[in-house]
Amino acid sequence: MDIVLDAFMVVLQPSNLFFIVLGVIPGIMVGAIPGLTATLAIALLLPFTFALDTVPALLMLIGIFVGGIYGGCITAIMVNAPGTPGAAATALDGYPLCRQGFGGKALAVATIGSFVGGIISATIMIFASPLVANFALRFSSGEYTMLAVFGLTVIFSVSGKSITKGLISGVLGLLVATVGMDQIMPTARFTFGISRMMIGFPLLPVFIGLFAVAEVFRLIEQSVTDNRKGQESEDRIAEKTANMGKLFPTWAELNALKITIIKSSIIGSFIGALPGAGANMAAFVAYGEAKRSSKTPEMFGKGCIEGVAAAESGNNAITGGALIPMLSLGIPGDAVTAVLLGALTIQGLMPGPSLFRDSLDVIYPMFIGLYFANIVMVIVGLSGAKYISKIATLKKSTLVPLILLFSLVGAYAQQASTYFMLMTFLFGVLGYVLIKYEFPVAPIGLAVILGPIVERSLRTALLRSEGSLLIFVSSPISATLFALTLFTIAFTVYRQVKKSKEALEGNAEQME
Amino acid sequence: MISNYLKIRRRAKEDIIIGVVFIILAIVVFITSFELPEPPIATSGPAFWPRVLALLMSGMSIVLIGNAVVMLKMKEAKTDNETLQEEKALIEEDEVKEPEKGYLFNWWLKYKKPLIAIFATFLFYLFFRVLGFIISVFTLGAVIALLVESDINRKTVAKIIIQSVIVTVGMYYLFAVILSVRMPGGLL
Repeated sequence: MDIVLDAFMVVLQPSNLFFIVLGVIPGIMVGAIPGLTATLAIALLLPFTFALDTVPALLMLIGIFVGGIYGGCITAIMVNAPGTPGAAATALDGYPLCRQGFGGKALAVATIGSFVGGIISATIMIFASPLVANFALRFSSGEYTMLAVFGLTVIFSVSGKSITKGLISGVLGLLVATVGMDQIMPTARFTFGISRMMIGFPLLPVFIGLFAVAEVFRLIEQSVTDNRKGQESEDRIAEKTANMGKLFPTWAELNALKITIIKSSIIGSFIGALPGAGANMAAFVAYGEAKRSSKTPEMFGKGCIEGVAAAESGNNAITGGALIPMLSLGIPGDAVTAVLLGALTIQGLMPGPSLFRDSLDVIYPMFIGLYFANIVMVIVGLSGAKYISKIATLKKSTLVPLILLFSLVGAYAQQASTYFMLMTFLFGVLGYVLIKYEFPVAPIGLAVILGPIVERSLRTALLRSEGSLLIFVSSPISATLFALTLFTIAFTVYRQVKKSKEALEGNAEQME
Repeated sequence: MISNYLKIRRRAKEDIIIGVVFIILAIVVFITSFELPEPPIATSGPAFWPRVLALLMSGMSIVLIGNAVVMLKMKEAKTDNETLQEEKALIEEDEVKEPEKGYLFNWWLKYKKPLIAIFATFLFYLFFRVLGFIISVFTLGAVIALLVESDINRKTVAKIIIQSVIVTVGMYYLFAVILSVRMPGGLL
């Protein structure tokens, strides 16, 4: 109990609370802008955390995380343009509600739902993480390696339209991570004699490049087509919004929603904890369940406030859930938690079972910080969502240069290094090209963080087994994980082939 | 969808090329790995993991190519006219301006701006220390804004210049003053 109280006292310090707010507000703003995700918010704002000590930096990151995931609902409701993928389900009923003049109510319910989702998932996380970490501490390095490999395989597979491409992206990322000084033996790998490359590809530029700069180039390319359409409204990422209505839900209405919200929060927490399943899935599953169990399912999609509540609770509930495997196992569940994990690594922490053993003075403030981040979010959301949404109406010619400049200068700022800036640029180009060819970019980011961890674990295991590869299948746990991994790869390849075959046959039929 | 057919074919051809590129990359990695030292327990050495990855990458690339080849084997049971119609529809869907001038011209039209942006960003990196923070940030900001801006006239250009000044000053304050990062003075 002492630790928890200490953590409370730490977080309650005005300066720390300030940093939570400093994270939440920009997080909401970036999350609100369609096309910019919570991942990007963390990547872009990461450089600002370097000037801070560990705990304030982490609190700020948590704030960005919570704000970013929430922010998407604002534009989802007001202009039918979800700011984040997780808010797509919110738009289904949120936007119709807004059109009917109940935008204010929809926003309020979304905010409150997000808040409850965040709180419930934070609570689940606080209890579950130490248990999972404890369990994982007993893993041998062989078993842990297989767990990481399995987690990676799942995440790579579900990342994009094509599973094959997701896996290739992932492996590419793992290869990128091998560049530089080897961890165990003091040799340089793939540095081609360039001494600067001994440090390999640093995390921050890789992330900022892949997620922010690539997006900038993509937006610029898109502006060409938009300009040709000759529509002025395409200048802005979202059009100016309609009348909001100042309505706030009544207590009776909120009361009626409470079961939906709680149920969706629990669903979101569990889905968030699964590798590969993110806010999008959580929101839609919660939405679907709410519709299924509703007394008025036919109203869903036409402006049913239950839909908004379910979608947003589910969406925000992933914040706590996703942190469970990320903190306790060191295996992130999706791109957002991957960036967060990278941020923790940069701060010198080693997420994984040992984190709970060695760094409790950092973990518990983080847990408490999650609660406060949600509190800040609900306050800011209820009072200022309308104003925050204005940022989404910024012209592209303002936003795009801003993102690019922040990315490049932010990357430089970490060590006053133009090498970092160059890496940001190169990975931006790489990301842009990959997106063009429909390769998902998130797996690369994930792989760059997890690659060294997996490799170290792998080689430690092999050293222990004196080179025998059997160590990865010798224990029941690792053998099961190994089989699951193979099965996942085989199954996803099979599904891919089947999909292609169906597309082929479908086309053939139409031609006849 | 009729025009999907051509899209699928084009995508399949691209996939084959990309697959080959990745296989080449994998081979390069594999060969380079032989320069790395091999400890007595070979599998724990620095070369092991890259080789495993190279093999995985080749495997997945082969699957990718295989998939694409299967797609390409789709039978073409249409007349020349139908194919032409489809190509037109496809190009229009790409929102390309001049279908008569052919693929390459329209490719340039589409990618001119991003390519300029990429080049400008590279120059920014190259000359950041030489020109200094203020000049570099202002210039790149203005260039990118101009690229994106749909309506270029005196008013919008003036707005962009003012915007770039504000952004430059703001960023300087944020990074150099608040975060105390040393920024190159360059020419100023």
